[in-house]
Amino acid sequence: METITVENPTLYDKAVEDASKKYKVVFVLITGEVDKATGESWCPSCRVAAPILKKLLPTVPDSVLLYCPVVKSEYRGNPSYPYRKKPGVDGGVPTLHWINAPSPMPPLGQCAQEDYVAMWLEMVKEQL
Amino acid sequence: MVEFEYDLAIIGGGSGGLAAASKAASYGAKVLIFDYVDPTPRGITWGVGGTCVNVGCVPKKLFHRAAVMKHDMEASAEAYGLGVHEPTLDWPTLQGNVTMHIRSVNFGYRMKFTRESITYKNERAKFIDAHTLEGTDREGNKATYTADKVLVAVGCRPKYSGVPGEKELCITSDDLFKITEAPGTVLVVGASYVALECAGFLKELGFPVTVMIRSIPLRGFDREFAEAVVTDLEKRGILFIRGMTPKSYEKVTSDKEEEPKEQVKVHFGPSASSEPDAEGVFDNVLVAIGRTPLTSSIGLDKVGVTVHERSKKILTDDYEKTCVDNIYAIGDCRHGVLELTPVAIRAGHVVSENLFSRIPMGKELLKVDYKDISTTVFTPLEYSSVGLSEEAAIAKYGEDKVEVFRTQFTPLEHTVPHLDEVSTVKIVVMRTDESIPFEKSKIVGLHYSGINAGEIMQGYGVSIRRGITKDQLDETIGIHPTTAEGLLDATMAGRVGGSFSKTSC
Repeated sequence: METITVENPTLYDKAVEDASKKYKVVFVLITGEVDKATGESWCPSCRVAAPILKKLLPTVPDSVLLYCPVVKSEYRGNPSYPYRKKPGVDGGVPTLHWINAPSPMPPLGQCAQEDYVAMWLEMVKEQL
Repeated sequence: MVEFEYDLAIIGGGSGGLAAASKAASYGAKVLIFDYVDPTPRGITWGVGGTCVNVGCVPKKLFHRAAVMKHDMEASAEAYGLGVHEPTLDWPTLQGNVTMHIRSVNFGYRMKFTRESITYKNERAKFIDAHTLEGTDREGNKATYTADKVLVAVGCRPKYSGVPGEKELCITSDDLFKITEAPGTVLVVGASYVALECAGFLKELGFPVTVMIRSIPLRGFDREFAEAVVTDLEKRGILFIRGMTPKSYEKVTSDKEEEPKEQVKVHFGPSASSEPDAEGVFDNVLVAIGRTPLTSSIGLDKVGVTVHERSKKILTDDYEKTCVDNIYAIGDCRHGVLELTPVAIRAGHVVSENLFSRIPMGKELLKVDYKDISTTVFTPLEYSSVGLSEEAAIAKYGEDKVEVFRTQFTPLEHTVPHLDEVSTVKIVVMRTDESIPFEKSKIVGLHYSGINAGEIMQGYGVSIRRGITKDQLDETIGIHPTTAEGLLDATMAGRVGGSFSKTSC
C-alpha cells in the first residue's frame, strides 16, 4: 500500500486533491512526527498505533495513506495549528480520517486499540 | 435436551433490540442480533441503531435544535445586544455534521457488540420454525441460526397511500435527513407529529413549506394543544391545506430559471373524493401519513405468531410474549404500545431481565408499565404531555368528574425582545367523589406548550405517575425564574372555552 508523506500542513490540500483523483479510499493520518535520532514518534499512542495501522490499513482495497507528521513544538498547546481545524484531530494525535468518504465518516481517535481500528475499517469496507 | 446455538436471537437492531441484547448479554446469555435496512425507493440506507438513531429522534432533534437556534438569533439576539446578522442555513453542513454524529453512534454500537460478545449479523432474518432463523445478506447469501428464545423488534417504516407517482417521486422521513442538497420548496403530506415536526424545522430553517392534512392534526393528542401547534405553524408562515389528499404525482421540469430543475406536481382534492380539483408544484414532497410495522415478511405465519387485524402489529401478553411460547415482541411492531424509543428500551430490558436474570422462585416477573408515559412533540412550539387529554378524560370518567385548570404566561426570556410567544399549561383532574374539591383531586393529564417542553415535562412526569393531586402540585415551591415553575400556577378552572390570562414576572 502506498504511503505518501505530507511534509507540512501547507502541502496538505494539494496532497488530498491529488490522492483523491487516484484512489478510492484516501486515509489521512495526523500523527506525531518521528524523531530522526530515536527513530520513534514523540507521541506514545502514535507509537502503539503505527504497527496496528501498518497491518490493517492495507486490507482496504484501492487505498492510500497520507502520512501527516506533526512537530511537537508547533502542535502542542497551539489551538490554531492547521490540522486542528482541517481535517481535525479527534481528541489529539493520532487521528485517522477517511478523507474522501462518499458520506461523512467520523474520524478515529482510538488508533492505538486494534479492535477499534478493525471495526472502523470494517465500516469503511461496508461502504465500498 | 436440545442444544441451540444462541440463548436469544433478536430480529431488529433498533432501540428495543439493542436494549434487550445488552441486558441479556450482561447476564451471560449468548445473543445474536440481526439488523437490516431495506433501502428506500431513493436507495437510501443506514447503519445499526434503528429508526431513532438514524432517521428518527436523533436527527429530528438536531434539525429542530438548528431551527430553534436560527429563530432565537433572528427574533431575540438583537434585543439582547448580540450582533447576529441574518443567520443563513448551509444545509450540507447541518446534514453532514448530523450524519457524522449518527455514524459515530453506529460505530459505538458495533464496538459495543464486540465488547459484550453479541453476535451481529447485517442480514434480513425470517423464521424457518420457532427456533430456527434464516438470514440473508445484501449479496443474497443465506445462513441458518438456531436460538432458544427469539425476540422480534423489527419496528416500522413510513407508510405510503399508494396513489400514482408517490413512491417514485416523493420522499419520506427515511430520506429527509440523508439528502445532501437543500430541499427547496416542500409539501408535507400528513398530520402526524412526524409531518408537523418536519414541516416546522424546515420552515424555520428557511424553506417554504405547505402542509396537506386529510382531516385532523395530531390525532390522539389533546385537541386544544394540537390546534395550537397548527396555529403556531401557520403564524410562522406555513400554508395549511386541510381536508385534502393527493390523488397523484407527476414529474415536471421547471422552466422559470436559467437551469431547468425537476419538480413534483401534486394533483389533489377533497379527502372523500377520488378526483383532484387542484394542483401544486414543489421541489420536494414529504409523505408522512403514518408508519407500518415490518411484520409481513419475516415468516410469522409460518410459526403461528398472530398479529392484530388492523394494525398488523404483533399481539402479545403483558410480558411481551406472543402466542408462541419462545417468541417475544417489543417496540413499534408490538400492538398496543406508544411508538416511542424509551418504551421499546424498557420493554427490551424487561424481557431480558425476565428471561436471563435468574429471578428467584416465587418472585414475580417484571412488567412494563405503559401508563402515564410523558411525550413531547418537537414542533417550533414544543408540546409535551403526560396522561390523558381533556377529551379522553371526559370520555373515560364522565364530564361531571373531570375539571381542567389553565394558565398562560410569557417566559422571562421573551420579554426583552418583546416576543409574542407564550407558554400554555392545562391540568386535567379527576375526582372519584363529589365531596372532593377539584383543587384537591388527582391529576390525570398534564399538558404544556412552549419553550423547552421536553425538559420541563420529564420531572413532572415522574410525579404524575405516582398519582399526585392538584394541591400537591400547587404546594410545591418553584424554581425562579424558570418556565417550569409556571406549571405550579394553574389556578383558573374551566373547560375549553375558558379564557387564559397572560401574566409574566
